[in-house]
Parts: sequence; structure tokens; C-alpha cells
Amino acid sequence: MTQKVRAFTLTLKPAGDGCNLACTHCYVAGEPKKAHVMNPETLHEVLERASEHAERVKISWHGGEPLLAGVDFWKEALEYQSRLPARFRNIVQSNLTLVDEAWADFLVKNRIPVGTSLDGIRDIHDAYRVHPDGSGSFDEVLRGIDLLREHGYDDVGAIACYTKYMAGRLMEVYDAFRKLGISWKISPLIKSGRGDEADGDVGADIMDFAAEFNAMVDRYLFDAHSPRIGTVDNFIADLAAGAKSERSGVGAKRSCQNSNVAIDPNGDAYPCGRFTQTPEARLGNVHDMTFEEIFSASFKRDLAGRNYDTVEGCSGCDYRKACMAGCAHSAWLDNNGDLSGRDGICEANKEIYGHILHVVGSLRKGGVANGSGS
Amino acid sequence: MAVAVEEYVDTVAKRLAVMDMSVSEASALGSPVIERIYREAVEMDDCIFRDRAKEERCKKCECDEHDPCPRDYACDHTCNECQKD
Repeated sequence: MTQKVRAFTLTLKPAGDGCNLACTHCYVAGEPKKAHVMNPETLHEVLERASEHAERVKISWHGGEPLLAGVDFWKEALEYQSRLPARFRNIVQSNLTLVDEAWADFLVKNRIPVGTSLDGIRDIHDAYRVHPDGSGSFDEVLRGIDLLREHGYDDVGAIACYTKYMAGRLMEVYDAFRKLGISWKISPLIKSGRGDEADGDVGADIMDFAAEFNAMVDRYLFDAHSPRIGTVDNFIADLAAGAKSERSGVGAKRSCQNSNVAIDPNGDAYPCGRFTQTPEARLGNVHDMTFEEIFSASFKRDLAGRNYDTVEGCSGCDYRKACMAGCAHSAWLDNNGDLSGRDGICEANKEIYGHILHVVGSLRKGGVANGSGS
Repeated sequence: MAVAVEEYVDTVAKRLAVMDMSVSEASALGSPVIERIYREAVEMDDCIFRDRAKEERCKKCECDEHDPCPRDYACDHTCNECQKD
């Protein structure tokens, strides 16, 4: 047996693509689906093989809606983890609409970090994040957050999606999250599944996104009372890491494809959660493959090998060591499977990186007036 | 027209060098956000600058979230933990 790797991240979809919501722009393809819960044999197989592969395993429970698997499934998963030699950590991305007293108690007692999807403002959120009957989910998400807070967990992170409906209102969204006291991230629409089908109606211009994002950066940087905006923080950290890399030659980031695998309820393995909507990206099945074999699959190696030296246009870019050629999944979608193509958000990212460099450069010269600071 | 490699590297280094700061330099900028990012980077064993091959655990909270550094993950859906601790 080969030596274990130190750590990797496993995106597990315990209820598959099943979801109680029917969001217009979901990355899942087709009509909203019923939960297809992973059976105990597959769960055990996944955990055993993960434990054989790595000393530490981070499981990102995802969906669909992962809480649809039921709290008993989750208890079984954590109990089984405790029997295995690897150290497991669990995080969950949930819409939180199913959180009740029992779920809140379970998640908080087991110290499972929670992320959710939230657009900050009711009408923006409810425009697309809807139940099958078309009713919005905003109030239920907030109720779930409140329940977790009542149980002592006050650190839910949110991901917002920049859509046509949000366009022109990002500063309102900023104020909303500031008032809610919730750390958040924001990204443009993922052009996958229903998100791809709805792109023309829902997806906003990425350069509009960059312009609004940069205006928000100007305010956020000087706002001592804002909750974290992880997306801004990451842009800054990427540039800082890139600067250090360029000078000393250390710190080159690895592709996330070196350390991530996603597993569907039937045990099928995919390069990451986003690729689970792409049948041709299937790498194999955990019932008959080790994780070492999954990571060695040719498509996985192609994805992991994609970097700024292999992508057209990256070699002359100032920001190549900050963005590291962007998301392989987005590039694959945006270029019809050609991994040498750029991530479709590249030009927006350049605008943002350039703006941050300009602001920081001006500050170092003492030349930028403070923003709101309110 | 493509620039020579030496010239390109020099350009990039100059452009990005503005981000290569100590915590005290970052603090002097007057942005609480930038100051926090640099301060936390040092507190987390310089994690955003370090040689990631070392894969050391977070010295601040002893958690595994920084091993490997979560900032390696490009996918927003898997890096909420970046905001923790």
C-alpha cells in the first residue's frame, strides 16, 4: 500500500441533487429532484477509502440539499468516522430552510461549520431562490440562521449570487449583510445546469459585476464594522501571495483539483462538486476504485495540470500568480471542454485585481481618501 | 507584441510588489480590512505567504482548516471555512 497523503477534501452529496427548493439558477441540471439518499454501504465505503487515502479528511457536505438525508444519516456518518484512523472534519453548505431544533442542536453540538446561500435582501433572494410553487425562501433561511444563533452558533457564512436582478444594487446588498452581521461571499452565476439554461435571463454582465464589486471594495476597505466579505479578502490575499511568490519563488498555489473529489450517492466520483452535473466527467466509482486511482484518472490529471503555463493568454498576465488561471470547471464549460481556454470571468478578475493594486499602491503613497468608515 | 521574459517578470514584480508588506506597513495604510488580512496571515503562521509544501497546521486555532491552506481552493462552495477562527 502506498503512503497516505496528508489531507484532502471530499465533497459528499448525501441526498444527491435532491432539494426542497427549485432555484432558477441552480448549478444542478434539469427539474428539481427528489432526494436520493446515499445508502449505508456506500457511505461506509467512501469513509473507509478516504481514511485509507489520507491522514486528515475534510468533508464538505453538499447538494442539492444535504440535510434532506436526515439527521440519523448524519449521526451514522459521524459515528462511523470516529471508528476510522483518519481525522475527519465536516462542514456543510445548506439552504437552512429545513433547520429545526433537532438540526440546530446536532450541527452546533458537533461543531459543524455552516454555509448557506443568501442574497441579503428579500426581493433579490426571492426572485430566484424559490420553492417548487414559486414562493420565496428568504424568511426561512433567516429563520434557520436565527435558530443556529439561538443554539450558540453565530458564524454562518453566506454565498450570494450576482444576477441581473441584483445588478445596480450591490451596495444595498452590502448594507443588508452589514445589518444582518453575516460574513459573505459573492460570485457571478455559475453557467451550469439550470444556471446555464437561465443564463440569458438571470446572468449579469461580468464587467458590470467587476465595476460594482470595485465600488464595494472602496467602501469595505475602510469600514471597520463590516462583516467579512470573503471574496474581497481572497482577492487581496491572492495578490499578496502572488507578490511573495514572484519575489521568492515560493508559495505557488496548487490547483484545487489536486486535493478535491466529489462523490454522488451511488458512489460515482467526479473531479469536484461542480462537475457532478457533467456525466462525461465521471472518474469512476468508490466501490471499485481507491482514491489514489481516482486522483490518477486521466481527466483528473488534466484538470490538475491546468495552470498559467498551459492556458492561452495567462503567460503575459500580471495577475497569473494571483488567480492561478481561475476555475478549471468554469474554463471547461466556457470553452467547450478545452482546458487551455480561460475562465470566463477572467476579464472581470483582472479589473478587480487591478483596482485593488491601484488602491493599495495609492495608499502606500498616502494618496487615497478614506471611504465611508461608518 | 510579446515582451521579453526578463522584462515581463520585472513588470509583474513591480506591479505586485506593492502587496509585499509587513504587518506594520499594512497597518499604516489606514484600512482595517487590509490590516486584518495581513495580521491574520502572520498569526496563522504566515499562511498566505508560506511555502505551502510545508502544510503546517494553524498555530492560532490548532485546526486543520489551514492544512492545506483553504485559500488554495478556487471553488467558493468549499471555502467558507476560510472565514473561521
